[in-house]
Amino acid sequence: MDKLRHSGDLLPLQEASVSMTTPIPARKDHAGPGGATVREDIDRAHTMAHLRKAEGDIAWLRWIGMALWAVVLYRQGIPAGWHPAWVVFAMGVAYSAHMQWRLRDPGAIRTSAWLATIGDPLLAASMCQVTGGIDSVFFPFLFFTLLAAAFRFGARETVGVFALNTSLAVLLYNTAPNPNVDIDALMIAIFYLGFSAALGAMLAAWARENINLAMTRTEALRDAHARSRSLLHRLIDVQEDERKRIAGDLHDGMGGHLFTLQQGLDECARRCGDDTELKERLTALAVGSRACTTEVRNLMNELRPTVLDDLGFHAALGDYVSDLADAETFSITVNFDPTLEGWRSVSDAMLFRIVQEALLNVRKHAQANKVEIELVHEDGAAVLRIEDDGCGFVPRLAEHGHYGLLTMRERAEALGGELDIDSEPSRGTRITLRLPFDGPL
Amino acid sequence: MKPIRVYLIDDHHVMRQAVVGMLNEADDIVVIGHSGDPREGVDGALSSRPDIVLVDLKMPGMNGLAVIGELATRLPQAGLIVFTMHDNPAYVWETMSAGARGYVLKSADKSDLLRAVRAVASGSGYLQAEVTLPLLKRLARDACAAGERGALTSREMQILECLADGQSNKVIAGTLTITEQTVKSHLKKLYEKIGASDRAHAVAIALRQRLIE
Repeated sequence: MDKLRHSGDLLPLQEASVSMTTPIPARKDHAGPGGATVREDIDRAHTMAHLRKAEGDIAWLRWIGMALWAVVLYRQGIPAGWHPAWVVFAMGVAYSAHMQWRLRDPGAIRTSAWLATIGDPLLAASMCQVTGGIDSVFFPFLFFTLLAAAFRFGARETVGVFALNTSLAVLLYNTAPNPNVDIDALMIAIFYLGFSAALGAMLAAWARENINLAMTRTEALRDAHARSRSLLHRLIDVQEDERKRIAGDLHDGMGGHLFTLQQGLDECARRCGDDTELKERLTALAVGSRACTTEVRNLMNELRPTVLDDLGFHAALGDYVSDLADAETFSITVNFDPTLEGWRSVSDAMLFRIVQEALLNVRKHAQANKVEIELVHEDGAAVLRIEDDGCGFVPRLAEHGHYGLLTMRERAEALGGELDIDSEPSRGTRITLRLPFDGPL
Repeated sequence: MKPIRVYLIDDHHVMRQAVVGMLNEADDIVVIGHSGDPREGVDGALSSRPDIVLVDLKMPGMNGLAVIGELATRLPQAGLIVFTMHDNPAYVWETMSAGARGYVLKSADKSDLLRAVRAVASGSGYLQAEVTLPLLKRLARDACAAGERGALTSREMQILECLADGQSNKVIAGTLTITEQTVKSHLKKLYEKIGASDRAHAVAIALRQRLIE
C-alpha cells in the first residue's frame, strides 16, 4: 500500500550531500545547548563526513599510484632487489596499507587526513630522491598531493602544503645530484607546484562559496518552513478559539433573546382574541422563531460541540457518530478501549476535528459501506484509527492542495503525535493517529 | 393547594425575567428566587429549599452539570430540571445520571415547561419529546456497541486468517503494514475475546466456531 508517514522532523540537513567543504565561519545565531550554534554542529558533522569520504577516495587513488609506480620502475629496468627505488616502493606499499587500515577508525579521521597530507609528499619526494631528484618521472606526484590537500581541506591548507612541497623540491635539487638539472629546472618545478596549488586552492574556494550559498539557502528555507509551520499551528489554534468564542456568543446573545421572542409571540397569539388571521400569523412567527433556535443550536454544535468541553472526546464522538449514522448510508462502528472512555486530554478538540475531517472525507469521496473508528492502547500510545472500505486514493497525489488532509497532519503534529494515511485506489483508507499517552487526565 | 415552589439558575438576565413571568402566571406555581450566578444559585436554592430547581447548563464559573451534582446530593428532595439550548443526547444522559429528573429545551413551548415542572414536582420525570428520540437512538447504539465489543474487529479477523495460514508475527506485520508490537497487542485482545491460550488454540477455536473457512 502506498504510505505517507510524517513524524515532524525538520529538513534532513545532516543527510544533505556535500562533496567538498571547509570549515565555514558560523553565524552566531541559533545557539544550541552547550554554546555551539546549530550551524557549527552541522558544519562539524559535514566536515567529518566529507573527510571520511575524501580519505576513502584518496586511499584508492594511492593504491592506483602504487601500481603505476611498480609499472614505471619495472619499465625503467630497475632490477628487483635491494635497489633504493624498490625499497621506497615497498615503504610506499606499507604506508598505503597503514593508511587504509587507519580508515577503519572514523573517529580519528582528522589525524589520518593530516598524516596523509604530510606523508604523501614525503613519500613522493623520497621516491624522487632515489630516481633522479626534481627531474624524476615521479615528481608530478607532488602536484597531486597539492590537489589532494585542496580536496581535503581548502585553500589555506593547500598553501601550507605548497610551502612543504617547495622545500622538498629545493631539498631534492640540493641533495639528489643530477647533471641534467640546473636552477632553471628547479624554477620550473616550483612554478608548476605553484600552478597546481593555485588551481587546487581556486577550486576549493569556489566549492566553499557554493557550499556557503547552499547552506545559507538551506537555512533560510528551513527557517521559512518552520515559520510557516508555526503559523499554520497558530492558525489552527486561532480557528478553534474563534469557533469556541462565536459558539459562546451565539449561546449567550441569541439564546435568551430568541426565547423571549418566542414566548412573547406565544403570549400575543393567546391574547389577540377573535382575530383569527392575526392569531395564525403570530403562531407562524412563533414557529419561525423556534426554528431559528434550532438553527442556532445546530450552528453552535457545528462550530464547537460544547459536549466536547464538558464531557470529553468520547461523549462528543458518540453524539456525532449517532447523528451521522442517521444521515448517512454507511454503517459506523465505534470501538473504544474502555480504559480510554474517560480519558480527558488537552487534545480532545483536536482529536475530534481529526475524526470530523476523516469522516467528512469518507462522506464526500469514499463511497464506503462500513467505517470503523477505534481508540485503543498500543505500545504505550493512544491510537486512533479510522478505517473505511471505500474507493481509496493515492495519498501522495491527494495531499497536494487538499487543505483537510494537510490540517489533519498539522493537528496531529501539534499534539506531538504521528499521523499515517494508508490508502490506495479501491482498497479503502486507514488513517492512524498515534499519540503519546499521558494517562487519564 | 400548596403551590409548587421553583428556584431558577440561569446566567441570562432577559431569559430569567421571561421564565419567572411565565411560571408566575400559572396558579399552581410560584418562583421563590432566581440567580444569574451558579455558585450563588446553589446557595440560594439550599437556603430556600424549593420543590423544583431549573438549571441552565452553560454558565460562567460553574458548569450546570456540577450544579446538578451538588444539588442532587445536598438537596435530594428537590426535583432538578435542566433548562438549556443543548439537545445533545450526551448531555441528557449525563445530567440524568447526575440526578436531574427533567430536561427541557429553551425552544420549548410554555406548556412544555409547565408540564415539566408539574410532572417533576409530582415525583415523576419529564423529557421533552425532541430529546427523547435521539437519546433512545444513542442508548440503542451504545448497547449495540457494548454487545459488539466482544465481537472481533475486522483487523482481528484479518490477523486470525493470517494465523490460520501459519504466518509469523513478523510476516503478519508485513502483510498488514503494522508493527510487530501492534500485531502482538491485537493478538492479546484476540485471545481474550475468543478465549484462546495460544496461536494454535485460536485457530482451532476459530475453525470450530466457523469464524474462518
